[in-house]
Amino acid sequence: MVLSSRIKNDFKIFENYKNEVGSELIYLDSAATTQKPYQVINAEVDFLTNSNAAAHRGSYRLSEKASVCLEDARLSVANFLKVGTSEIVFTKSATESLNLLAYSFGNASEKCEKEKIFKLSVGDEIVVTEMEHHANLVPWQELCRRTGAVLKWIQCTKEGVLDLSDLSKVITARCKILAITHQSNSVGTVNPVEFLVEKARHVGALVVLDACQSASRIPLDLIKLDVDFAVFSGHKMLGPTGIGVLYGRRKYLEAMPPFLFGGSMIENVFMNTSTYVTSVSRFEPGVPMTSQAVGLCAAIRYLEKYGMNRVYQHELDLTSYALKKLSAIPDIQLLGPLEAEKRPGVVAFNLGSIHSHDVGQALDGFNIAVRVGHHCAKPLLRKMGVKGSVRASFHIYNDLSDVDKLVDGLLYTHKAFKEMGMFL
Amino acid sequence: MNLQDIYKNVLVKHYREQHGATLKEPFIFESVKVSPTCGDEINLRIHDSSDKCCDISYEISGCTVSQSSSSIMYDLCQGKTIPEVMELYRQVVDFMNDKTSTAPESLGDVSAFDEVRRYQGRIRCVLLSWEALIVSLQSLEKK
Repeated sequence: MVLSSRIKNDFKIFENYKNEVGSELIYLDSAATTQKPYQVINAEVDFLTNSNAAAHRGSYRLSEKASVCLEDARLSVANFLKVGTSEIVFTKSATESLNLLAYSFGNASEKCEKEKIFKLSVGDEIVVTEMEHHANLVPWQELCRRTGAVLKWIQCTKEGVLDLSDLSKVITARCKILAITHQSNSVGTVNPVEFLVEKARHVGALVVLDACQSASRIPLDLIKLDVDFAVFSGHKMLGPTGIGVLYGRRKYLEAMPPFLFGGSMIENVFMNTSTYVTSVSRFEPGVPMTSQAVGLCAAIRYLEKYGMNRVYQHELDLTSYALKKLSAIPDIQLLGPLEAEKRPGVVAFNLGSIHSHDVGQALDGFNIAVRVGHHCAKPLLRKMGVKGSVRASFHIYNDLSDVDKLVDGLLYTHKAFKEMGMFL
Repeated sequence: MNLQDIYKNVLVKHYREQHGATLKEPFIFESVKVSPTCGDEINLRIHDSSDKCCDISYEISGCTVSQSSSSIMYDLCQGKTIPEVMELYRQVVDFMNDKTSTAPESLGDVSAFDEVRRYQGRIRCVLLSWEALIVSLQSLEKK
């Protein structure tokens, strides 16, 4: 393994769990949320105990200190993505970021020249994929309902990869927005983003990338990917909950109408009208979530300490090992691509006819935490012909022994459920 | 965790041979209830407009717990009046939420969920079919 098992020592929850429960926690649900190293927790505590004030609000030194903390965090995110600070908006989460885009586009006015590019009319098309997390599907459904635009999607195969065979019929000249996931949260499939972006450019569509799963696993260069917008959440990359990122090309962020209104995003306010700032603050109303941004900054620095290339290799090694070991379990049904490089960090499966919730319950008995059910990706699971699945997802605090324990747990579960007559 | 404590024989029997688990025609009311967390889904029909709520039929896609609970619910509610079903539901909810209580005899095989009560997420599995039935009966009463 490229990363040492000693990394786990930075994540105090593992020691605390063992002390409380008496057994080791095998945490395999990082695709839902990651555990946090003490460096991230300490960074937030340090901010709250030494620098806490309303950023960009006060004229006193402590407020300026808080402002510096916030903007340092923004700079770290921008550098991580290799973009500019004027292109980074802090939100509550990736889900909020996606809703921000959908609402902002929906608010675009044809009468405003700079907003026209976002304006959707009856018959315009928004294209997603069949493997989207609900957060990158439902907001676009609602936007279509509000504007009369049509939702289309790139279908998936039963193997959980995109069917690119008839793309010209899906991404047509009427396509205004292509919203795609970089990596499926349910089966881990990584999509050919640059290829799809090229198709979008050909028809002049804007591209929105859901990078929730990829941001903490795969080295990201948004300039190279050439997307117009990208979103991810801090808590899925060792950072705190309550902070998300929206990347947008500066020219677009400056042109988009706001989503939420209130303090900080205004330029001037009268009783019957207001004007708004042109900077990213236009999308950050209210007192900023500075402590969470500081936590995210610490998370990025933590990841960069090891280097995203090594993190990626670590995920590949774990996934490759897991796929090999899982495939030997009786009645296992692996879902998604069979090659680790096509789905780093995430494995999904079913155990014969046993419902995923029952498998998850059994694994919990061994302190193995996995996700079960539909993973907020019902259309993909439906396409793959399953009602639910078990998902094990890794991060830098996992090692091969975690996979071994997962396999042992599944073997026990298989035997127990077989003896109880639960296989149909 | 001992799986046999959770998946008692009686539950597994209901899971393997579910009672009432085929949708019948005609029906006077139909509802679909989906668990937002795990995606378990029940389609439940009521076939009688009188005070009795016999002739429930359903189709469920779900885990062992939700499927066996549906079968047990069917056995308990067939031939009962609506007030009797409401009382049974109240008793099931009380039993599932009070981990120290013993199931009254009226609940029959529901008592087999005593270990399941320890897991908050599984309580929802037990109650899915009951909630579908109660909501259906309440909707019917309003009609």
